[in-house]
Amino acid sequence: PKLVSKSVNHNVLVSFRQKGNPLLPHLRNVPWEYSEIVPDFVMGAKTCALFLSLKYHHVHPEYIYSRIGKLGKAYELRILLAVVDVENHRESIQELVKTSVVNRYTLILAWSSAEAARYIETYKAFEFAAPTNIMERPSTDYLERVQNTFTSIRGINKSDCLSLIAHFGSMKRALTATQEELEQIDGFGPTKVRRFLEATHQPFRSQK
Amino acid sequence: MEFEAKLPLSFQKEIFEEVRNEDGLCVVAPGLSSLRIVANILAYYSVPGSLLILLNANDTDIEILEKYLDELKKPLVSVNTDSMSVDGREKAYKGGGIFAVTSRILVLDMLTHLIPVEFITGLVVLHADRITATGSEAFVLRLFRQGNRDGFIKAFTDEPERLTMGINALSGCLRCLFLKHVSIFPRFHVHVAEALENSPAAVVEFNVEATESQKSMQTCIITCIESTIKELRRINSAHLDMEQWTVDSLLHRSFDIIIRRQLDPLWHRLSSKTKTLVSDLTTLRSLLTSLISYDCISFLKLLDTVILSAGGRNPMQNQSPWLLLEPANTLINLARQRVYSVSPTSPNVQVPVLEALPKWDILKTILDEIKQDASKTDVTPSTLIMCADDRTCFQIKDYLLSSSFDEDASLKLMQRKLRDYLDWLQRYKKIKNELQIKGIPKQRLESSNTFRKAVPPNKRRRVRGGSNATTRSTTPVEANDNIEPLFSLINSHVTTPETESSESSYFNDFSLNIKSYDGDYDDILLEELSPNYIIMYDADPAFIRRVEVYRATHPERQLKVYFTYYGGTVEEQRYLFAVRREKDSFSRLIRERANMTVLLTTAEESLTDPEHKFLQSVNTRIAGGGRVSSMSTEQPRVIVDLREFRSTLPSMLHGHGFSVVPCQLTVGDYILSPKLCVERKSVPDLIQSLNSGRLYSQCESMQDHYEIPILLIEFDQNKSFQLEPFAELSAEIGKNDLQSKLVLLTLCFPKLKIIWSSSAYATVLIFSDLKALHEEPDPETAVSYGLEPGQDATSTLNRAPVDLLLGLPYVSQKNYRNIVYSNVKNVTELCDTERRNLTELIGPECGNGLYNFMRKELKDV
Repeated sequence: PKLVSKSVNHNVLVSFRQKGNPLLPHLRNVPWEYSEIVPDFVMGAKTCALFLSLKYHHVHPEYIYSRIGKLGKAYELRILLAVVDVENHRESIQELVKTSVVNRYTLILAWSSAEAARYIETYKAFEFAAPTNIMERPSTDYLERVQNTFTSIRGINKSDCLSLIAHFGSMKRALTATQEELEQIDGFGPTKVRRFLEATHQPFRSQK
Repeated sequence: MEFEAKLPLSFQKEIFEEVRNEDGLCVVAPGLSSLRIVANILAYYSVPGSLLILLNANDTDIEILEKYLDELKKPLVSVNTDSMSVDGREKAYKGGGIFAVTSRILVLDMLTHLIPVEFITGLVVLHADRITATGSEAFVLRLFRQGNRDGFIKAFTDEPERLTMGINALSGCLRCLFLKHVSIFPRFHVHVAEALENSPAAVVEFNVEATESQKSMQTCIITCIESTIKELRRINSAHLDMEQWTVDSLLHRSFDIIIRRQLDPLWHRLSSKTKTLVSDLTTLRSLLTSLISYDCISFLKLLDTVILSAGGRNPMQNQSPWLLLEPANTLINLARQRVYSVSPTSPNVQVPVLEALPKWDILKTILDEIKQDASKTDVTPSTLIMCADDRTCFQIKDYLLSSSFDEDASLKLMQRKLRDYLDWLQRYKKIKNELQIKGIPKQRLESSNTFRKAVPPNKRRRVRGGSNATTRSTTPVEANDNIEPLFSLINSHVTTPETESSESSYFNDFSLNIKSYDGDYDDILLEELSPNYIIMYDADPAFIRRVEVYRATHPERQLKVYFTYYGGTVEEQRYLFAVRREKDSFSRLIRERANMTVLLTTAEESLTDPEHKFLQSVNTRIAGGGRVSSMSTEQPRVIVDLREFRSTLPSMLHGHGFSVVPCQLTVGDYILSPKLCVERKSVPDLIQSLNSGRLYSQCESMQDHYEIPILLIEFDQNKSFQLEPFAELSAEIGKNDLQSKLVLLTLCFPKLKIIWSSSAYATVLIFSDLKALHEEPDPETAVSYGLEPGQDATSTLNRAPVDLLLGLPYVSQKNYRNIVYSNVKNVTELCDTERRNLTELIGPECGNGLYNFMRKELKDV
């Protein structure tokens, strides 16, 4: 029995109830096995998912509530994975949003079985992943930094960034440039100049 | 009350009377000085105790109206966050007068009862064509009509084209304005024509021929545009409707914008290749314009930059396919040959060619003619040269200055420019090397060639003119590499510039002014300068109208107009197209007005857009006289961050009966209850903020202060309710897919709930569902979250500079407030801030990093 529980950690657990779910053939990037579990999928020690097709939901609207009732507050992260496979989805999505907030489920929408499978795979694959990829981290490349800075001004594109830094030679000179200097740059029309000056010269906050 | 309108022409008085007598939308042809009429309307209603609001006016409008109103002895007060504090605004409104208010601020002032809505005498709306049902101007109008049923609404526009775009644009616009009446004054209106054609000015036209190289280059660019469009159509056949397009229509239409509009509904689902192609179109169109207005060196410089940035450095980013076409190669070669070429005597030496713009010569001829003409009289003639933009002004000024002391004026000017260009090239090479080190390996570039499929190399298209063929070039276009020989030549050929003597310049013989077209401001310019000679260096239909009005106003003054254009180029066609389009639009508007009674009654039933219907239902309730102001206590309350007032959601929430409380929030965008905090992201925002890490920080702070943090993913009403298509996902789990990042986010924040909403309308319904279960939120608590002691929430943050600040390296969501609330005022000041002060503000690591980044020289990279 110990060996079994160890292998559990590597596999996505799929409830027997999900047999025949069209998403299963798409589960290719992580191993999975059937298991006796309360939720439909278990993607980690703290993560599980309930699966719902909106088509099914339209016919059996009470089904998902009974499943939520049975699962309760087990697992730290409970995903409600819904596949949008109907045209008029607005009301049912509105209902699911409310249900998920009230019962503390995280609602994830997919538009195909393949996409739903990808979500299950990704939750498993990222079980222990560090969030560095979605955290603020300064880039180390000088020109990339220059681009990130200038493109945060509305209407400035990448080729403008190159023009700016090539013209001024340093960020300090570019960011303190005057209207006359900016008008000399090729590709800088009055709108671009105005937006640039607004971003560099307007005060961060206006006093009460 | 006696009021004498200060309007010189009969048709202007007629418009004034019509607008005064009945509330309505007034469509006037551009150039017929509609702002003068607006000023008179405002002055007419401005009596002690009245409160007049001017809505949707831009800075130029305000400046001009201030001038006109000054003549009428009525002051105009302009209100935006920078100029006036909250207390100041309240006091000013109480005193009455004429106010030009930014609509976003006006919404806030109306919601917080800073402005007494019931005492507003009336609203004057400019640029009425730009008003949409969900925008903040419509929100203002709704709030106004709700609290005040007697005040007037008068709207103006001088862009008839925009009212004929789309289905029922005119009636939709009228509904937002709560107006029924439309008056239309095109240039061909009988009274307008009568007034203007009484004393026509003498006009001399110059059809200037473009140089051979300009013509060939135009052909090259157009071929590239055609291929790009063809490719775009090939990979997006389902969504693009361009069958009726001809090469001609390509020249003058803003085709890039039209295509973007067609693709917009599914923009977030398009492949990156498609997006590259669309942005290429914008680039190519700007090249087409610059080709005739830029001098040959500036154009080459622009082309160099475009090629470098379109080349693609990131392996994920597509290289622009047009760069691989033969015409692109021809284009860059021609552009270079206009500047320098291989010397006929020795092949290793390059000599400057420096082709001049043909219009320069014509300009000189015209000026000489004027000089001769004027010598017959003893007054110095006042001459005005009008160009498309400031850049061209500089160029001409430069040219005319150099032409004073040398016969070969253009050569002098161009040599100076060439020297600048060579300096620039050195910096340019630096960037290029930098990019190439990290760039994509060559083979990859070749294999990503998109056009291979479209045009097989062995199947050459048979076309007239050699440079026209869309064959694939053997090598991708390379940016200028071989410039060393040029450096050697510069010393031998280009002499150092002499100090410019001002002895015999054109500027001395003439009272000469060179200006660029500046909309309605040109009316004032003409009045102030009262020129005897006007040279329209670039074409502008509205300005011709202004000259006509000026002429009709002062029939006694001597006036001669010269008009130059490049025949057979984009410039000429664009001009003719603009004139025709305006005329067509007016004819359509007049027809539509005739059918209006039918439209206005049936439109309500036929509305298919739920957002429209939704706001409409609110409108009818108000028209029924419902007392809305008494429900402040029972209304469900939503606290909304000030920045969110740029989106449509606050307006929709208000329309649905929520009490919208505007506050400056540090944590979250919408606070529904003491427990529920919502961060709203449109799909592009979601992608961007997941990449920048901003969303992570926002979720962190939401989780710190609220029990149920919520991410609202809001799709656009008109766009598809779906993330990127699955076909775009690779076989393996990608680290950078949007969906993967969303997974990571929910794993990090298990408490985070997600609202998926197909439109702002759907969001409103979801919000009311969620709110039903919870208590009302408290504004003061919501505002205090996330602020450190000493950082006060009462001052307003300005978006543009704060966004730029957050774009800088080492500045993060966590530390930017330390800078915003310090005594560093703006980004320019931040550049000059001492190292010591920066480290005090954001810590030693970030402070030093930022200090060094600002001062790093490109040449040291």
